[in-house]
Amino acid sequence: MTEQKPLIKEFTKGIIKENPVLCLVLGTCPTLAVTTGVSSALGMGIAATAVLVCSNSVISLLRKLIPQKVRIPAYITVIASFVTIVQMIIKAYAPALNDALGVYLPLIVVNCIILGRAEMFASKHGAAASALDGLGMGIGFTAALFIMGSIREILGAGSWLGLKIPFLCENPILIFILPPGGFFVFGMLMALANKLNSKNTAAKTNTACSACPMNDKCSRQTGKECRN
Amino acid sequence: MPKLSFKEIAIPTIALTLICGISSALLACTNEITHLRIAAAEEETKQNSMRCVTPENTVTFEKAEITDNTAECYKALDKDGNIIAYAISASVKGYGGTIKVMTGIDNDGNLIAVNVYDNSSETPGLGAKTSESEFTDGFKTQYPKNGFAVSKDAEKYPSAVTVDAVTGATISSRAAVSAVNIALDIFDEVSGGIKK
Amino acid sequence: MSITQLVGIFLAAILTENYVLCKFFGICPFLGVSKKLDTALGMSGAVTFVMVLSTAATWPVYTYILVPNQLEYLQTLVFILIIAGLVQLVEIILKKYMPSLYNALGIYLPLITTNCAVLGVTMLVLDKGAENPEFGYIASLVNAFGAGIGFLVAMVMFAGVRERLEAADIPESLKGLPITLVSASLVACSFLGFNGIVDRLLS
Repeated sequence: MTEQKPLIKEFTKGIIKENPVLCLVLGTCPTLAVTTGVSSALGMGIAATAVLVCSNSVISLLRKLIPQKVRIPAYITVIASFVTIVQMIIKAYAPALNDALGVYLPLIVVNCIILGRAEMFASKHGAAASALDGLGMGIGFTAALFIMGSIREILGAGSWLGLKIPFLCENPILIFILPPGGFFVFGMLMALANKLNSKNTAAKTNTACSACPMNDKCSRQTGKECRN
Repeated sequence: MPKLSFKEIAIPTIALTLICGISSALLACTNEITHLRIAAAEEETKQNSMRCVTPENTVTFEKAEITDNTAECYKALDKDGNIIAYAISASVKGYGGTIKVMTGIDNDGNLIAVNVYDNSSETPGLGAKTSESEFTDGFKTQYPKNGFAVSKDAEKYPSAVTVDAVTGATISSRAAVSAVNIALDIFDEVSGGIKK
Repeated sequence: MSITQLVGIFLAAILTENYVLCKFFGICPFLGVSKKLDTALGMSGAVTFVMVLSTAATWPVYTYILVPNQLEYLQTLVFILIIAGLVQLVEIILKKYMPSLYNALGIYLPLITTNCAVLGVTMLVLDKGAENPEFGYIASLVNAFGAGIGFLVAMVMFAGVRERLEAADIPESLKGLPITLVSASLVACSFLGFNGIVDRLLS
C-alpha cells in the first residue's frame, strides 16, 4: 500500500493541482487553436495523451541508456516517432479528425507539455510512475481543452458536440470561435484558476517559463527576462 | 575548448543513431500497416461525396479525361452502363486553404446537388458552414448559362444566377461558387455542351 | 511566379495569416518575451532567421529525398531533427564568426527549437505547395520570411500594449497572464480587419 499511494498521486496531480494548461501554462498553442469545437478539442486531447503516456514510459525506460549530452535530441526523436504513429492511426481510422486538427496534429511534437514532462519527470522516475504522470497530465490537458472547447462552441456556434442549442444557434456570438475569442476565454479561465488557487492557498500559478524545458538555458542567458 | 575524448563523442553519437534507426524502423512498420487504410479512407470520402451528388440508380463511376488538371470528372453510370450524370470535383482557394467541391450535373444540365466535401481549413462556424445544405441547396437549379455568383456580386455579374453567401463568409462562399462554375465548364467540355 | 504574387504571399503571411494572432503558433514566446521591446525584437529576429533557414533546408529534403522514396511519413521526425541541428549549427557559427549578431540573437536560439511556429511554417508551405504546384521553393521562402515578419509585427505591437498594462489598475485575479491574454485578444481583433485586404489589393 505504501508503494501505491504516491503512484496515484502522480496520476491525480496533473488533473487539478498541476493542470498543465491552466496552472503550468504549457501547450498554449493547441489550447487556443483547436478549441473551436468540442470534438476537435477532445480529439487533440486524446491524441496528446496517447503520445504523452507512450513517450513518458519509453523515455523512462531508456533514461539510463541515453547519454546526458544528447538527451534533448533523443527525447525529441522518441516523441516525434510516437506523434507520427498516432497521426497515421488517426488518418486511417478517423480521417475527419485528421482534417479538423490539420497541421496541429504533427505539431504535438513541439508541445511543451510532452518535452517538459520527459525532461522534468520521466528522466528521473520509473516507468510506471512516468506512465501515470503522463496519463494524469494528458487527462488534465484534455479536460482543459474540453472546457475551452465547450465554452467556445456553445457561445460561438450555438451547439455542443454538433448538437444545436435552441436560441443560441440562431444568435451565435461568432467572435468566440474566431482567434480573439480563443485568447479571451483562455484569459478568463486562467483568471478563474488564479482566483480558486488563491482561495485555497494552494500553489501559486506557475509561470510559463518555470515549467518550460528550456527554462534553465533561457533564464541563465536572459537574466530575469522570462518572468511573467 | 577542451579536447573531447573519442569515448565522449562516440557514445552519444552511437546512442542517437540507434534511437533514430529504431524509431524509423518502427514508423516504417506502422506505415506498412496503415497506408492502405489511409488511402482507402481518402477514397471513401470522395466516393461518399460522389454518391451524394448523383442519382440513386448510379451503379459505378468512370473517370473521364479532362484538360483541367486541378479538377477531376467522373461519369456516373447506371446498371446498363449508360451515362446518367457527371460528378465533378474542383478545388479552389478559400479563406484558410483549399476547399474541395463536388458538383453533380445530369445529362440535361440540371444541377443535382453540390457537396462541399473538404473545407477543413475554413473558419469553423463561418466558412465551414459552406458545407451545410442551407448554402449548397442554393445551387439546385437548371443549367445556368452564365454560371453562378454570390448575391453580393450580382452587379458585377448581372446575368449570373445568384446564390446567397454564408453570412460573414463571403470569401469561402465565393470560392465554393467558383468551384461550381469550374464544374460547369468541365461539364461543357465532357458532354459537348448542352444547347444554350 | 510573378513578383505580384510573391508580394501577395508576403503580405498575406504578415496580415491575414499572422502566425501568432490568427494561427496561434509560437504563443509561448509571444507571451513570455514580449514584455520589453528590445527582447521582442531580438526574439523575432532570431525566429525569422531560423524560419527562412529551416524552410530553405526542409523544402528540398522533403521534395527531393522523402517524396521520391515514399518516405513522407518521416516528415515530422526529419523536420524536427533538421531544425534542432540547424539551430545548433547556427549558434556555433554565429558565436565564432559573427559575435555581434550572436550577442543580439544568440540567446534566443536555444528556445527556438521547440517553437511550433518554425516547425509549423515548414509544414504549411509544403501543404500549400501540394495544393498549388506553382507554389515552389521561392514562394515557400517568401512565405517563411513573411511569417517571421508577421511574428515580429505581432511581438512589437504587443510589447507596446504590455508596456501600457504596467501602469494599469488590474483586478487581483486578472493580474499577470490573464490580462495579457485578454489584451492579446484585442490585438487579434484588430487583425481580423485585414480579411480580404490582400486579395483585393493585388487583384
